[in-house]
Amino acid sequence: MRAFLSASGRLVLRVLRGVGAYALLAGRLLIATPRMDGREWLRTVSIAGVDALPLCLVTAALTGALVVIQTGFYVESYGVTSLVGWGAGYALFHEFAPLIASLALSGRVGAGQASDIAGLRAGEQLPALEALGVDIDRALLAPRFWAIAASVVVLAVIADVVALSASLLVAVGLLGVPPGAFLASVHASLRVADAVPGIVKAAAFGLALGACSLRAGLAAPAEARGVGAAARRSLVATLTAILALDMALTGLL
Amino acid sequence: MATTLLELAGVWAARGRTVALRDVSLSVPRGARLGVFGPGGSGKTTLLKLLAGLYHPSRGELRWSPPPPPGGLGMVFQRDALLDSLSALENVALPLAGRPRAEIVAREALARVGLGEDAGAKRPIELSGGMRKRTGLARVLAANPPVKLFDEPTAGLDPATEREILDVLDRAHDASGLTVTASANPEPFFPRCDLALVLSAGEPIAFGEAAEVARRGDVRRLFGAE
Ligand SMILES: Nc1ncnc2c1ncn2[C@@H]1O[C@H](COP(=O)(O)OP(=O)(O)OP(=O)(O)O)[C@@H](O)[C@H]1O
Ligand SMILES: [Mg+2]
Repeated sequence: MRAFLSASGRLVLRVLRGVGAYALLAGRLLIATPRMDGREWLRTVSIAGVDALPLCLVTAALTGALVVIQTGFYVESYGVTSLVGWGAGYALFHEFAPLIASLALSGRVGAGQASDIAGLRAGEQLPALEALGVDIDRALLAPRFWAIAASVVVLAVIADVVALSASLLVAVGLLGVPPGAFLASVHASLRVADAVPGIVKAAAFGLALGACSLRAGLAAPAEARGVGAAARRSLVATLTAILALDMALTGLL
Repeated sequence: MATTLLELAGVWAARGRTVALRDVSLSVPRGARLGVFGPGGSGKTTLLKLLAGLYHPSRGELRWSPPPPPGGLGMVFQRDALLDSLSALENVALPLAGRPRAEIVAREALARVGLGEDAGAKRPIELSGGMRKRTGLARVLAANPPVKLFDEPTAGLDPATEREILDVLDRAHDASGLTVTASANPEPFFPRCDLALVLSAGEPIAFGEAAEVARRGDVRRLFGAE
């Protein structure tokens, strides 16, 4: 009983410490945001985009194709070709595009940022700047955080377009759906408003990805082995956070 | 006698399982140039990092009167500690963000350590080790805090460049602040310091007027002069 109590006490403390650490990080980032370094933001966005775009494009195209292939059986047997466009569009906009974008970024960019921050601490770049009175939050952390979040949203929109185009190609090529019917079905059943939940999700995933990867970099031991540890922690934390957020938001939106 | 700016009273420091500093006590007046000398691993870097506030003593007390304000202290690290994502010029300008004419001041600081426009435009990874070291020095010279900590400022420089850099550092000394220079090769630094502390395996074996410390037999033997 005592062992159980102390174990659960420790767990509660760990969770509270984790929540506290994220709250602290969020506070730091928000305070630094109005004065953040715009060039660092732009630099990170371009690096993040270039890094994650190929993976995002390939997964988006394959997912778009798969959604149609999976539904193809029903479409053919029930002859509901008018619904293919709607089905593919709905699934892609609401669920797959934000996931694809955030997962593509978490692998390459999130883990990369975590190990970069850990490396800057191990190599004494961050202590050196802090000793000189440089505001690290303003110069590095806030710009990178917002760059990661913005990249997820932009990549999610790109993933929307690419995946839907791939669905169209497969529907036309494999299922023989007339292109006009596919587009008409997309047009008739999907409103611009249908893109909103997906974008809200992408934004939420982006914020979680930014916070988890920076936190992993800041929490790792400030020595060479911390660099790999930060990348691993970042991956685990972001995947957990993104899937948990996905469940929560799917219920809400 | 000038007023005391920095005082260490029985300071010990642990680095991992090593005791890096044992019972260091000293008092340094405002405006002093302090040399911290000792062979590799004797605790010089640890002492400078304590002064920079990056670690705290495990025992004893470290007192500034008054403590340097934010940005009032700058340290040049033994490893150059530059950001690889920025050019050399941007690295130097980083602590100046928000100050007027930041880029001009940064350019001037690079020129003082002998680096021109072309070097300033390069990333640290595209520079030689000595050029990176000089960029790190320029960053502190540009910010010009009253308290300056230099860890092995001339390691890896050729003798001619070393003399130039030593002169630049001399001129950068702030008579109302403090300059602390650490080196495992004290010969060129003794005449440019007022006070010297000699460490051996974390133990302070000499502290006093630099000229006197330089003449001591045990100090000369430690650095292989006899
Ligand atoms: N991160 C660390 N973890 C464990 N021990 C450390 C660490 N950094 C330094 N030490 C130990 O502390 C002692 C003092 O190291 P310090 O870097 O202060 O010496 P130093 O005089 O600057 O040496 P050098 O001339 O080689 O730069 C050494 O014994 C070193 O092994
Ligand atoms: Mg050292």
